[in-house]
This record gives sequence, C-alpha cells and structure tokens, in this order.
Amino acid sequence: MWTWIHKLGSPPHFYRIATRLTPWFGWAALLLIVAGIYGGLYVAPTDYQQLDGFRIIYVHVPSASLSLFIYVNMALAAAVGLVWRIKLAHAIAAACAPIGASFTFLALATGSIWAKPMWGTWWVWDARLTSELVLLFLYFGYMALRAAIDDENRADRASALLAIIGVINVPIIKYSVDWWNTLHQPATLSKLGKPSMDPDMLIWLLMMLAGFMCFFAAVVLTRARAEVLLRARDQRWVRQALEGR
Amino acid sequence: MPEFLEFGKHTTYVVSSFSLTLVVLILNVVSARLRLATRIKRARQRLALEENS
Repeated sequence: MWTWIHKLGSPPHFYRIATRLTPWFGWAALLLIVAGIYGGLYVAPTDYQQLDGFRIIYVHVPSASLSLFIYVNMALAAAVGLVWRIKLAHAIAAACAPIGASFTFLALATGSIWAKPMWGTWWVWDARLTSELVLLFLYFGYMALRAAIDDENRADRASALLAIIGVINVPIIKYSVDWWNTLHQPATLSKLGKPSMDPDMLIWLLMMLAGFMCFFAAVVLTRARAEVLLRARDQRWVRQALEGR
Repeated sequence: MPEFLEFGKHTTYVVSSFSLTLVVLILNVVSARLRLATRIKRARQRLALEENS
C-alpha cells in the first residue's frame, strides 16, 4: 500500500497513470451526464409544488456539491504538499482551483436562476448564498496568490496556507441551512437512508452527481498533467512520456 | 422554442440553467486540453533545444 502511494507520488508514474485513466473518466462522465440530463428533463416526474422549475436541481445540486468536494480535495492536496513537501500534491491542488471556481460560479448562477421563480428574487444575502460566494472568492484568492508569486516553492507554500485556512468555510456552507434561518431549502441528500426526494427523481440526481464526479476526475487529471510537465526538472522521463503517448 | 424545450412557465429558467451548465462543462474541457497541449508543445521545444545544444 505505502509502496503504491510512494510510487504514485512520483511525477513520471503519476503522469502515466493519469494519461491512462483520463479517457475512462471522460467517457463515463459523458454517458452519465447525457443520461442524467435526459432523465432529469424528460423522465423525472414534475414536482407538485415547484412544477418544472425543480428540474434545475439536476444541475444546481451536482455543481454545488462539486464546489465543496473540489475545495476539500484542493486543501487536502495542499496540506500534503506543505507537510510532506510533495510537489505533485501542490500540482494537484493548483489543478483543482480553476475547476472548483467554475463549479462554484455555476452553483451560484443556477441557484440564482432557480431562486427567481421560487423566491421572487435573484439573490438574498443569507448564510448559504453568502458563504458559497465566499468560497468563490477563496478560489479566486488561491489562484491570484499563485499567479502573484514568481518563485514556485513560495507560491506553493503561501497558496497552500490559504487553501487550508479556507477549509473553515466548508462546514459553514454545508450546515448554514441548519444553523441559521434561510430561504434556502434544507439539504436534499444529507439524510442517509431517507432522502427528501422521490426515488423516480432521485435516481437522475445521483446519476448527475456521479457524472460530475467523473468529469472532475477527467479534467483534474488533464490539468495536473499540464502542471507536472511545467514543473518537470528531470527531462528524461518527460522525453519517455511524450514519446510513449 | 422547440417543443422538447418547453417546460411550462419555467421554460426560460430551466433552459438557461442547463445551457449555462453545458457551457461551463465544455469550457472546462477545452481549457484543460489547451493547457496540456501548450505544455506538451513547450516540453517538446525544450527537449529539441537540449538535443541541438
């Protein structure tokens, strides 16, 4: 196990594995997302209260879940890089940031579009929405900090600290609907064994969630490969990797 | 609006949410692939320079 982890931490091995895995995740994501969109739009029954407007859940919840999932992954990778000085971990953290920012933006935008017909307003400054907006700024801050520091090692360390400190926002977002009064509805999938959705609706949401996860895996592996190439000091494995692709 | 994109009084909201999602997904794929292609091109140039020197 430890040998495998140690091996995975080496850039050449990671590059090889990532190159092999990316198409699998990519095709799985495509199939799951296409099926999820079709099911969410045309197969899932209309909600008795929100009518067809509820179908926005099939893109809003997966993007919101992913925005948090990616941040936790980014912070974990940054922490591993900071504590054990593994450069590959910093490369993965750096690869996570733009993807996470795009899904946070998507969660905010689709949430806002959903809010208009349901709440009568595009935006309210309540805990869930505000903390999700703070998450977007954390992603922007992380990327800006990296871009502002020329020295790679210093950029890695400084951005890792920011990512780790920002983790405090994750439980705030997650539990904001329980801790404070909010217009936002409670979590759809938090009650294990008793989801608040009809199974005919839930199946497509789970499919979209799985599709988004596979999509993240495919894109982060592609971006991480680019980061690894940028940081490569030993040119021999780069030559082998590029000739072998 | 084509019939398969009709979602009652919420058509605009549903269609715009799903369209925006597709745009974000496609942009993610395109930017990641472009970034990797650029890095590979630069790495090849670096290797070629080393060979020639």
